[in-house]
Amino acid sequence: MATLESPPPGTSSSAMRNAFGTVLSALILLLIGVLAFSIRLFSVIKYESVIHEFDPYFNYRVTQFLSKNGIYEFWNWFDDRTWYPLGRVIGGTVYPGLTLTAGTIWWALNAINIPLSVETVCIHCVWAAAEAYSAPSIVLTSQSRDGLHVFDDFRESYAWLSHNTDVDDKVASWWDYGYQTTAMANRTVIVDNNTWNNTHIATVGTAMSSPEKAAWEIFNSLDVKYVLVVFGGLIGYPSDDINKFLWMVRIGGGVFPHIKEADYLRDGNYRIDSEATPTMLNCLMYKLSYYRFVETDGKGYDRVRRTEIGKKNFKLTHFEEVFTSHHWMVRIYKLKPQKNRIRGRAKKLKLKTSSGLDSKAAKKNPWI
Amino acid sequence: MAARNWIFAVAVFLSLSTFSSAQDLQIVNAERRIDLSSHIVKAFLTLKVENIGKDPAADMLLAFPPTQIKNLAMVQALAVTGKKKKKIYLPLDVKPSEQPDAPNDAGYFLVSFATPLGPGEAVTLEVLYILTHSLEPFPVEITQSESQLVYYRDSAVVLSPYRIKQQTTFFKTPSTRVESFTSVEPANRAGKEIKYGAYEDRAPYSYAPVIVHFENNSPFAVVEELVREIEISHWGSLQITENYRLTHGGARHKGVFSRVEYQSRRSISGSSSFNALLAVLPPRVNSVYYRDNIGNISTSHLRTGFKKSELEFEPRYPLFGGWKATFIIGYRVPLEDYLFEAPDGRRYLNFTFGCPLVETIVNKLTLKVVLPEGSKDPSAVLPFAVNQDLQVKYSYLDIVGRTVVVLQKDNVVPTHNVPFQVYYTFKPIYMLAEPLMLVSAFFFVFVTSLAYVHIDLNIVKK
Repeated sequence: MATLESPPPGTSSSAMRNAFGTVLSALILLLIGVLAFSIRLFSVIKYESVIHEFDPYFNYRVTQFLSKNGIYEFWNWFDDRTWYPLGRVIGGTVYPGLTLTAGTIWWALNAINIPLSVETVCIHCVWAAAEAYSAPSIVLTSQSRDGLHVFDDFRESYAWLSHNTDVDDKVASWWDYGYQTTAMANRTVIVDNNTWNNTHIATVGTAMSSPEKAAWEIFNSLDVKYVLVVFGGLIGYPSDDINKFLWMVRIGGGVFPHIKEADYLRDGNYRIDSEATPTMLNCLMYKLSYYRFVETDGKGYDRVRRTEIGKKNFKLTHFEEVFTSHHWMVRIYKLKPQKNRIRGRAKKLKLKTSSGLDSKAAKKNPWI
Repeated sequence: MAARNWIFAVAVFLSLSTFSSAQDLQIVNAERRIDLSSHIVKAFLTLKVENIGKDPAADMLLAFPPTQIKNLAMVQALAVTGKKKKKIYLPLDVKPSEQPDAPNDAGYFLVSFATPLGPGEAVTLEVLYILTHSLEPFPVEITQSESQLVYYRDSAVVLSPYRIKQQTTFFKTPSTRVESFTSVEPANRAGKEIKYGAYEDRAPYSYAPVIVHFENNSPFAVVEELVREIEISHWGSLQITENYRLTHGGARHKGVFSRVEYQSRRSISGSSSFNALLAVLPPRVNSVYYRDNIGNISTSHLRTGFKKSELEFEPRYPLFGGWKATFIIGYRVPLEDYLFEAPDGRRYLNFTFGCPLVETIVNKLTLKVVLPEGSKDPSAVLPFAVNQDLQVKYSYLDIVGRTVVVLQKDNVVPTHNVPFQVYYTFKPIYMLAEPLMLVSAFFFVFVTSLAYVHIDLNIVKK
């Protein structure tokens, strides 16, 4: 058998080659790692060093809790600020890999006095989860002739909620915004992106599809103080709640049979213009989205649905507007408190455009 | 009226007691101009003081009613010499003073003259004092379409421990809308100015309370808490991080916030709300960031200049009465502009105290100066009183931690933006600590890998 004689260790040229080879391969591997890492940071660099998706906000919030309270509190954590009034057992239902990795990295860095915040660590770990989802960004940009225009309405509204409402106020919205509301606005929500309870989601969907009084009753029974809707009609943002409305009707109708999808459809389509059905024009989602929208341009032209809205001038009886963001993308309403005295005679509702609900207007309305 | 008589009686009693200056000085002429244009009330008081006693007077007292004493942010005094265009202003030392038997808990400030005032001599003083939180919104709550009206309470005659021969007081309001003002004859109003006076020969501690109810829509920007951290890095830069908790300190907002009304009828909707703020930063500033705890805020505009830089920024939403916002502003400046060597070998940082925002009151200001690792004997020098403390902070590559000099002051106004110094000793050899640490870390890694590659760990020789 021929044995390869390894050159005596004293030989300088081959030993040098060996050494070179090892260092070079180590360096190449390191550079590949850095490059792979950097490529994935493009969205962070382009927009901002912030978490952009919906679901990663859950991971970020959970990691924050872990870093603040430690591993035992984390395993035993029952979160009462979501799925109100049911809550969620986070310790038992979470996939902890991402959270524990981020938490460990943060703890290790802080132990050697490198003060990176939990948020920074998460962006580098949460990227992996974010890549798998679709791309609703939290900061939207558009190019105009004066340069880049930034739409930061979501964060504007979450910041407003976190500073100008009480800590224990409950916010109701469609489930898409649940994680972001709990993480950024720090308020208790009714349903969130976990979507583990279909009946609870159907309750919110029914409330959004009902007329004002019925919706008020549902939200009041859940101790809700604020209702949040996303509206893209002023600037043409297509992923708003009116476009998602069909799911609110279907999911709501699946659990509560008095919500019938046919009531909202005209020739098989969901319409919000003059051809819309009376039920549609009277439901909470329509009213909260288009309240005083006609005053922006005089005609109420919805840039997403590309039509003028059906009911233009109406007043809200059970809700009042407390905040609308800069580009009208997020609108927040407060539930009006109940009146102490119910008046003897019902006053006729003044509606500028016919809603087809004259029979309901004549009925006794205790809120006027 | 009864209060005035009682004060007069007390004053007569006191003039017989041991007030050293009360009998010796009298104020020949007092002219007071109070500027009510913004929520920071500035009062300019010109006093011509005469020594009518037999001994020279080294100082004099300024009196303030107890309600004003707790809102006084600053009192400054200048002695005026010369005439007309050749006036020379000499700053005088002003200190808060406790006097026994102060009537009705009046507060005092002691002004020390540059040279003692001889008998029969007179001197003209210019006093500036600044009051915060002195405009009380009334009505307390307003809707979006209403204007903001406030009360200002003061006295038509200047409160003083001395007799005042002649005096006039002027109030300047920001607009011509004045709902009412107390009439103390002779008092009249012309446009934006209300004149009380001239009043002749008032006894010491005379007081005539007046209330002016007027419109003030200037931004009531109040920073409830500001934590400013200045980190000195001997590698060439100063990193400043400022954490703000901002609120609107005026009439509280009630009812609906309608965005469509705010955007379409801006002149009458939300007239007392404010949107934009201005921060004055040092001239050679770089790496400025403006963010809050959920991310970057893009609504800002930076203009750098030779004497100063200006950062115009907007909170995420307009601030109405009672609304709050928090944000962080951070920036970096070159070290050579601010760190110097004192003649005794110590190093010192020369920086500006206070808050960079214009026309804002800071209720609680904490300024932390983080000295590099290995600094010893820190001390701070300021022209006014602050609370001083020492802390330790652990940051990148720290072993023993960095000393932090913590300066804390309440009720800070833009007039407090004056230079201050922090002295410390630092042995230059300590600069090598961090590079040596990094070098030895890499060295250790390489030595370990060398050893691992070359040590034969086999039990049986191959």
